[in-house]
Amino acid sequence: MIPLRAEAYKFGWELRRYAFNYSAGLAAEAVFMGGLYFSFSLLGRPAGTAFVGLLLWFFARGAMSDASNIISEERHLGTFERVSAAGPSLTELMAARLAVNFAFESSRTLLLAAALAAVFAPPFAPLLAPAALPGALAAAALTVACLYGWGFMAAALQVRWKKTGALVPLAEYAMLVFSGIIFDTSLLGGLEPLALLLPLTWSVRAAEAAYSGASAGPALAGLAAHAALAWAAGLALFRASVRATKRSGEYGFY
Amino acid sequence: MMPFIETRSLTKVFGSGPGAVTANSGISFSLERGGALGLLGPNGAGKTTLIKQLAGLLRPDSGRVLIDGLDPAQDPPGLRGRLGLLLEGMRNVYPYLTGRANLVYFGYLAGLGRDEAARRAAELLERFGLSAAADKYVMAYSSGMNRKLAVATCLMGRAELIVLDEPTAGLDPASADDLAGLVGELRSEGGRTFILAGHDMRFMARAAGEVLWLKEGRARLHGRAEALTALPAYRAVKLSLRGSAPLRARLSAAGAEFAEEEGGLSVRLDPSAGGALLAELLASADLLSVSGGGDLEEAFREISRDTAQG
Ligand SMILES: Nc1ncnc2c1ncn2[C@@H]1O[C@H](COP(=O)(O)OP(=O)(O)OP(=O)(O)O)[C@@H](O)[C@H]1O
Ligand SMILES: [Mg+2]
Repeated sequence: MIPLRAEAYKFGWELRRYAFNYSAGLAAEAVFMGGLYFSFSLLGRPAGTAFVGLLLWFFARGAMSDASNIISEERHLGTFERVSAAGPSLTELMAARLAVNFAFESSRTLLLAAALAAVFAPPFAPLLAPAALPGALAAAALTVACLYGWGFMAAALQVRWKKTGALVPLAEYAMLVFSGIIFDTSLLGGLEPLALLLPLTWSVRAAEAAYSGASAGPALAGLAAHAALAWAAGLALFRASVRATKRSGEYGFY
Repeated sequence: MMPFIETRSLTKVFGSGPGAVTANSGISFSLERGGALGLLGPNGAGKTTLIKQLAGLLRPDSGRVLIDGLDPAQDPPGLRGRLGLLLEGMRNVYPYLTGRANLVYFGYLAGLGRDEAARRAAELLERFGLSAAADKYVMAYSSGMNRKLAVATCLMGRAELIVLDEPTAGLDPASADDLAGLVGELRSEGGRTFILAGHDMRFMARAAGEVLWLKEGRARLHGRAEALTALPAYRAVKLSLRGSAPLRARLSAAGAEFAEEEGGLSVRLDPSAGGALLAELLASADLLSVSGGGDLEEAFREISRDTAQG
């Protein structure tokens, strides 16, 4: 049983308690992302992909760090062991928390998109064209799947190795810099294949395809492969980490 | 018939090399449904380690636990929601939720619906005397209130096995007695099974049906809880007497142990052993004061001493 009601209820309390912090945080993000978008346009980046890329990156940061934050917060509070024995399995509990989290992160992303769109009026029409829309939606869904798969991998590492949280920003900023949001991945030269290891690279390519009227097929295939791998690796790693820490006695350690 | 809980030669060693700690070694016991087992023993004896193994939070190095025939270390779906677990310390409830919200949250996790969770939370808040603080954030609770709330979260669902590590830590004596009464009710009415750990001898004597005494990871004694109050140390009578030479001679002759103390002598007597001597001393003109038996803490020390080599 995935305890959605329990996690939505608990998150409701967090939201009430931290509503001010969340709002102020989103305002700060809007200033930062607006500035980035504006400078991208000065650099001559294509407006559509720059906009979509930045929003994807904004969402990615939340999605990837949330999973490992769940583990570290539980351990910090000391409630990790208690909640692990409260009924649902830890994987079910994580799934429920991430689902609630997804609702929150996607609302934040939509709010940010609306605010930036109001100021900069980026071109949306090509994305919404009948030929491009299904591909764009599929790419968005697959991107979400990839990012939560990565989140599960981060959580798995966090269970076993407490310093993982410190490394998550490395993955986040690598995605901003090397996914083709700021500059074309072709500029990476011989290192370009490394960019293909980042799921956002494929999401940005899907956006580029939509804007240029090309087929989104290759980008979607890349995203699908990423999503499948990330979930398989994330879940397997997560189970293995939990087993290992339950053996070593470090399961509840912070 | 298969017992509800069974452990077979559970062993757990933390670390390796010279610093390794044997937290559990060859622990085997069984407990019937509706029973209540008290785990006793000095600090570091292995009580919490055993509890975590029962709850599936720690895997034994060897041996196994079976709860209703299922091994909690394998996280079997058949055991989900059947355990109510309280861990030691302030590690059981969320400080940024209110008391009521914590109960409702754990109720939902245990599979209760909205109305049932709300009703059950209100009942338990009432039962634990927390109604007035129900809608305060837990970070504002005293440690005893926090503990009561944490115990209450274990009772939200329909868990058949309630495992409580140091349930009375921070509880005032009346609340501890009340909890012991509640354990009795839940056993007789609901058929729930309890595992209790801690050092509160009075609570254990009242709440547990049987006790398992651990020391250095080994089970040293396993018996009925009433045996605690039958221990000589529990029943001993302590007398203070004016120290006189004839009295010292009389005590030595009777083989009674006595200690010099300021202003006289202190004598401890087990009434079952020294009935005649006790009567004589109680009638003596040298008698200064008598303190009665019933000292379970002293009994704890006595078992700790007696199980030191084993
Ligand atoms: N996760 C762990 N990693 C390493 N050593 C541990 C761990 N948990 C317990 N130990 C060690 O195992 C031994 C038994 O500890 P345990 O917590 O089971 O004792 P206890 O009987 O519950 O003690 P207390 O009465 O103080 O709560 C101790 O020496 C402790 O240091
Ligand atoms: Mg303990």
